[in-house]
Amino acid sequence: MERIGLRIRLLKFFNRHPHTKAFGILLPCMFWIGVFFLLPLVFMATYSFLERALYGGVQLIFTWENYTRFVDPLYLKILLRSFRISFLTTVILLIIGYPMAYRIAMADKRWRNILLFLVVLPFWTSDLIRTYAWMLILRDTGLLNFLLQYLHVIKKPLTLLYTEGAILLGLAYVYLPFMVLPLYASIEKLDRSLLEAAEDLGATPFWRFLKVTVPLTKSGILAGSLLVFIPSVGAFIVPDLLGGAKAMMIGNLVQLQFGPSRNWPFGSAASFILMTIVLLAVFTYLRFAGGKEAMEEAR
Amino acid sequence: MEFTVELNRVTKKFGDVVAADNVSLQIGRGEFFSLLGPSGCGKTTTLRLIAGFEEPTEGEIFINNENVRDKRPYERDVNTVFQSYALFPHLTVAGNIAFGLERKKTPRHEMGRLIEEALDLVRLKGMGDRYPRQLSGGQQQRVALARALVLKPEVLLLDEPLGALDLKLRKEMQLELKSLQEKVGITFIYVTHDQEEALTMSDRIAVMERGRLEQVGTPEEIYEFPKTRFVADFIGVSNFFSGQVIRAEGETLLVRTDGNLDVTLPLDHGFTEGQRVQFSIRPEKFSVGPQGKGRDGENELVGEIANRIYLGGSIHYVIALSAEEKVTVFLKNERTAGQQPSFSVGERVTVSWHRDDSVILGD
Repeated sequence: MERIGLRIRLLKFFNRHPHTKAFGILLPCMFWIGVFFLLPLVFMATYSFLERALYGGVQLIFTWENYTRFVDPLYLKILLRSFRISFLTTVILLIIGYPMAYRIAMADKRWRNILLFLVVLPFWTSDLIRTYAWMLILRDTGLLNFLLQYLHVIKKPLTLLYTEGAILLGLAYVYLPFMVLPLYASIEKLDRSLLEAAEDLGATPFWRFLKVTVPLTKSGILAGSLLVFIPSVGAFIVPDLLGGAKAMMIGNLVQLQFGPSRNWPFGSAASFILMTIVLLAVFTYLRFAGGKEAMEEAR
Repeated sequence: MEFTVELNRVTKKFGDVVAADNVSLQIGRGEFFSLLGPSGCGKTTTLRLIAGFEEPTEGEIFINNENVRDKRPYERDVNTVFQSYALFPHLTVAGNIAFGLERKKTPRHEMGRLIEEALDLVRLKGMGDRYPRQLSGGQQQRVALARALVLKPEVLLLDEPLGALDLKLRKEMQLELKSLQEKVGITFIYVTHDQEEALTMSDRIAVMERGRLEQVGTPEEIYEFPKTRFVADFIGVSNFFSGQVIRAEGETLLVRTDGNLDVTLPLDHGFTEGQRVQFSIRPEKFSVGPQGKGRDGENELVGEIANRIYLGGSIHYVIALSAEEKVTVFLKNERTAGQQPSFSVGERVTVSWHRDDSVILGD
């Protein structure tokens, strides 16, 4: 009896205070984000303004040095390379991913799921292992060089591994599903009669693609590009294994600071610099590419 | 006569399904031509064949006396108004109308004028900046129309364009479409399953069923002289009879129906004694009275009123002529002060009609 009375009183209380109720529902989620996302971020922000201790960890001395240190041609070059490679990866994946997603979306219904399954299949093994596999293919005595020599296309093995090209290949390979899936989702939703209407109004296939298909699948293009670009900038397994020391990316730099160099403050500062630039880049991109739609929506 | 569109023995198969079966049509310049039939009869397929969205399995299609076999839809001088309108959601009304004009490389200044004209034509002046989703169904329909008409095609194809509108708006748009078509003088090929719509608007109608053409003719021909049972049944209401030819006599064919009624039909030399014959009579062709009028060529039968539906302007009766044979009769309500009583259920009356109002049907 007493328990039921309590329950009813509790329900009545929640009905009178809907905000408290909403807060109650959100609590677990807020706890999760707070503990596992915000708190570490606060730690990192704090660390980035402190001096390093001799054997890892920090000393409670305020300094700007971790940020000023970054303004060094060496680090700026790494940052620039990271963005260049990520940008190229995104572009390459758009070029490969769009026709792929289009083809899958237009395929016969019973083929569609099989094809999508094939796109996602590589996810089933760790990307570490898949990247190692690429090493075996690309290295001087690897599969590709062996085949080319065997077929007498080349005499001496080509340097494929530890180049920017290898990183591009690896990133494009790892992130392909991130591009194809959102593109597929938006192309699949495309109303076919719009494509017929475009053709009916005199549009050649190319013009139709440019003026109807692309604008109407913009959400997929935006989503796919962001899903590829953001993780690519911070990637470290692929550049580490396929790029080596010559083509270091910012992810490797951060990893290096937290790992072997034991310079957590500098690693934190590098992370924050990366995060800030990525956020700025994403906002600019969304404003630039998605702006018209957003404006139109606001009307 | 000059034909804008000609179909020569066109067949379209989807796997084992024959969507269009040996269809031959000639559609004249400036004609309002309707393809009428129930869903799945092949009317939309026929339209899509003309537009170029489908390729015929067999046969040829000519537009302006030119074989369009190898022409893609964007190379054909036809435009389509789609059932779903298919307006581009990311473009404004003006942008939608400009879409085709841009492809035709129309100069900028002229484009603005043409768009204004087109909007004016469909009574959407000042709506150019709106987006399709901000418009009502009827307005979207007009945009679809303007978008196609602005290109001044030889032929405009319309795929049930009024299907999504409510009844009142549909009636309005029917008249509007018809007068629009007369104004622009473009050949309209209009797909509909609504017989009334087809009768209202068309110069000629092709009735289709199971991929085949049942009959092609003016609304009057189709209604008054249906060639097949399907046409007689699909368009309007018909009373069907079947029976056996007894003999030909002068201008008439003497027939005994399966319900053992002796009636006369107009003479048809295709029939000989003993042959089976099917015919139909429209419900408004009958007259009903205490006794017949005794005109020459008149059939007179006695029946009993089985059912009566009062509709105000008219009264519908079902009259039993024999145990199996009942006819539906539409009579105008001719009641004036103190006159013309209508008939009541159970009353015995004489039903009469002229033999020439019976239409002999093919299979």
